[in-house]
Amino acid sequence: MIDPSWIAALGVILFGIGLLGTFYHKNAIVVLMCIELMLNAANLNFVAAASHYGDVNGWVFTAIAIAIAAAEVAIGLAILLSMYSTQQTISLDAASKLRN
Amino acid sequence: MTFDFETLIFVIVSGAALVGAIGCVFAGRVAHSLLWLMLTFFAVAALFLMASAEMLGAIQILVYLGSVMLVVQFGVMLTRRRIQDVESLPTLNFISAAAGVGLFALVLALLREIMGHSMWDSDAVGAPTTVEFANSLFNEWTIATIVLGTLLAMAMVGASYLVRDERLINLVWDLGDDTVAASPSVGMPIRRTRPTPSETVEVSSKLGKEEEEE
Amino acid sequence: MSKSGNEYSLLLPLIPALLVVPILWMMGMESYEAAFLIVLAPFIAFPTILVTGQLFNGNDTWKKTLKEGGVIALAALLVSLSISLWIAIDYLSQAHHFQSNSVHNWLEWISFQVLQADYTMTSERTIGVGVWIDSVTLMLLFVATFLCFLICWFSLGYMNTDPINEDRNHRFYAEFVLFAMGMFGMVLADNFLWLFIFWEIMGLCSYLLIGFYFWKESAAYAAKKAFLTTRVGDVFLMVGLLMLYGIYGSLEFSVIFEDPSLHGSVDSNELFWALLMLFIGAVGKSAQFPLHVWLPDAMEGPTPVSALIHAATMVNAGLYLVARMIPFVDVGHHGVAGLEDLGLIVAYVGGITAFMAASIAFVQNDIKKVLAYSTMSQLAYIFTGLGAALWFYNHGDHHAAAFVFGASMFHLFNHAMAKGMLFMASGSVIHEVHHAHDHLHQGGNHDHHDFDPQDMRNMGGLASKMPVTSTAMMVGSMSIIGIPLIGGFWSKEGIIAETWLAALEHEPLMMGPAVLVLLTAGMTGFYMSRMWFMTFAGKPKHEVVNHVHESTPWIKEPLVILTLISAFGGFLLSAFGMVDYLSAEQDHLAMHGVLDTLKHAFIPDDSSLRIVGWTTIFLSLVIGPVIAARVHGGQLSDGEGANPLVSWLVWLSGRFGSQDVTEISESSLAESLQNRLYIDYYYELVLAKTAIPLSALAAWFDKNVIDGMVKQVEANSVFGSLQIRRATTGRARDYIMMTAVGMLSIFALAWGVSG
Repeated sequence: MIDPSWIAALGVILFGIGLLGTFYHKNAIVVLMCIELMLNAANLNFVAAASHYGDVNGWVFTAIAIAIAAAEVAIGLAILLSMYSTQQTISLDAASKLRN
Repeated sequence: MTFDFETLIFVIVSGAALVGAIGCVFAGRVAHSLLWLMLTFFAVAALFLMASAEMLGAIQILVYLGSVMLVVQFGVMLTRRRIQDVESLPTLNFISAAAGVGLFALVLALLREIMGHSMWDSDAVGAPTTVEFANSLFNEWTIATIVLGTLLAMAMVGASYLVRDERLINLVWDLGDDTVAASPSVGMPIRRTRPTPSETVEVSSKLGKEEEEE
Repeated sequence: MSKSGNEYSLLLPLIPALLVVPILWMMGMESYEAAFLIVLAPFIAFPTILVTGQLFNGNDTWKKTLKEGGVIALAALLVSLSISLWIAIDYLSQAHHFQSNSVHNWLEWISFQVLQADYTMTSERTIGVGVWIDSVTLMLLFVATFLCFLICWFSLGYMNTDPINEDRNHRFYAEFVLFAMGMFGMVLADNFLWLFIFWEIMGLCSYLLIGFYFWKESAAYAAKKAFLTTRVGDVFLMVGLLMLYGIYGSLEFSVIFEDPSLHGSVDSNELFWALLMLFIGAVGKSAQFPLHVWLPDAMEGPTPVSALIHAATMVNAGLYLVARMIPFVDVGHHGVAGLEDLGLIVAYVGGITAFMAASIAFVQNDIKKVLAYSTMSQLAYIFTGLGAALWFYNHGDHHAAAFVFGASMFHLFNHAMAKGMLFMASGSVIHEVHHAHDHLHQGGNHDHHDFDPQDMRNMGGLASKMPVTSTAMMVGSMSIIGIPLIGGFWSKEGIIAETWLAALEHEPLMMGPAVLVLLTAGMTGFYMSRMWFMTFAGKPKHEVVNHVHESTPWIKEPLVILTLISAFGGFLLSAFGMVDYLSAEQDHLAMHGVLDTLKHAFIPDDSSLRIVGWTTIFLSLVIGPVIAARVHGGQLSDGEGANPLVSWLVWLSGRFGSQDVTEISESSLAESLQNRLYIDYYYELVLAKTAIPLSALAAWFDKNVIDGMVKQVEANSVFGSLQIRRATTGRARDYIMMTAVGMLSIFALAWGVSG
């Protein structure tokens, strides 16, 4: 097997890119997708470590993380659609009702 | 250097992942962004396979690529406004610069930390099997599994509640008034779902009649 | 306005107050152990009256049954009175029992260590709380408690029937009771610090009570003047206390009075200045020259206030303080020698004030102002006596010193009783004249404010209308004048005689006070008689008089009691030699019996003193009143009758013919006297030049610098918060950014800490 530290390194880089994406975009959907990216990066790390140690718990965590990410996307999009139906836009710049 | 097929595959796959990630972030349109992300997910699934986590690779493809991306795609379709331009952050410019720099520093530091961590020094043990995974999931982690199921159910309920169509006219129709035009909320262009004043008047008068009748 | 049978039921709450002493006695408590209750009872009554008065303001029951707190105050004061009587009886019957005078030191209140010059800490020093009871305390305690009680009784009838006071009386009674607490506490205190604390409490209450009608500008001004003038004295008093502390290392009476000379190591010069500072404090409080300016203006307060504070109790505080200086100078009992000048200064101040006050009283038309100046004058008498006592003690002449000290203290007693009564009687007169005026002008309000019910020129011939009041005032005046065999005579004689003795035989400088005091005796005769004749004798000068009638029983009863005491108290106290009990162990209050005093007064051994004595009597009994009678006396209107004694006096006053004094009354001397010898004027001038600009500067500083600092802090925080508020853009992206940055920093920090 390849050196798991490389897989972890890749995970870190993907995480960084995902983080950049969440700051960068003002389209809510893209932000959601970047969040997914970050989650995936974390999963990568889990799997790499689990496979190296032979510990199955790492895989379990990963499965749980995937399931939760799925649930989160569903809710996130539902909120998004609500916002769209009231404001006709999904730009995060428009979501500024909490402005002082 | 002996030619290591495995290493080559790894380089290609991780390169694909990186390209997909960068493409997702820097794409011009939302749909393109989505597609690039799908590439990344594929690459990640491949990496799972390479790490002998076959089950997880399958789950990754099924869940992420099969359902999550689909849902996001629906979201993209239903919100058809064209948000083309990817702008840099208009405000907080100092902070964005600082964030960028910090991000870069963070990534570098994390990299160094993770790659130099002592945990990778121990001898590699063979990866676990899927049977072990299944056993663990249903015996050791029973509660977690059940809770996860509940969570997904709640998410379903919650999501469907959040996107309900609140127009009174639907309520009237539900109550059995056939004179009102059926207003399914599928297929029609989504407009304001909050009732307009005229709707309110019209509907409440109908409601009043209904109650009188009954 | 007569007291119906119902009003006696108001006294029911007093019964528990009366039972306090028997209960305590049966519980086995010693009288001095209960002394703290004397101070505690009014202390509890003060917030009670204030709070319930605010809560039940306007409530009918509160007004009728509890007389807006008056009955509560009365009950508290009755507790104090009964305990002080108990202590007095105890003391008199077993004087040896009270040998250790600081009978109780209950607790250490402040304990501290002092950093000395060589940077070592001394042992712990404490300032405690306790009581000190000796004969001086007893005298003043009895006077204070008794008069507080009676005047509270009086004010139940006086204050509560005046419509202007409606719904405000609870404030009056609360402040009254607080003042009582201050006085009792001061008299019972066993160290100088507590004396000072209670001294200040009394000053505060004096301010509050003088300014009771605070909406009147004159009253507010008078209150401020009183407070500030006494404050000047208080500053000196504080300095004196600090000097005393520096000399003795403690302020406790038990420590200081044990050996005031510290085995001869005390520098008499230092002690002189310390005691002089204390004396200046006393001058301020007792309204002697030059800090006397507040007392006449203090008459702006209601009459009970004038009676209590400015005749009977607070002004005695200064006397008490000077009396406490005696152990310092008593060379026979470890005192410090070389302090004769102190006695001289005290006597001079007394003499000057006596003469000055008496002369200003000549031209006063306001009945209360006459009494105010009379107070000043009589207190000056006592100061003169104390000065002579201080001088004699320091000179070593123990016998004479004890005699004149006893006479001074006795004069304090007589004066307090008589002056309290005189003020109350004048209050009664003013009250009734005011009511008569209201009665007369029920319809129109036109000259309501021009009519001054206190002006004696609006009175005259009231003897027939107000029998009790006129008798009371007659007896009181006679006591003050020093008519033989009545009250003040027994004590005044002692003072004048001993001062002359000092002047003739020992210290020529004492001649000043001696002569002044002699002249003042005659002047006292004049102006007191003038007051009485103007008010009660002669034809009415204003139609109001015809409608006046006698006051309510609440007012009459204290007058009657005090009349009897003034008339016969002096005689009785001397006769039964009760005062000999007081002198059993210590000679501080040695007085002789009646016969001795009579002998001393009328036929002293020393021929020169004999001349003095007879001159005094002649001046005060004959010359003064006769002149007054000539000017103001006269028969009542036809058909008017009065009490036998009073009517005889009125008839007598008419027999001397009459004299017109318009020329004199318009002279420049009279004018300057009316302007109080311009002392007030010059004080105000100086203040306007010095104090007011300083205070303007201080006000500017306070407003701009201190408040400015606070405002700057406020402005800064507002600015800062505005800046921080700009971070809440409301935009989701910014929030994501901030969340991420925050989490990353936390992460980095944690990592940095662990790694």
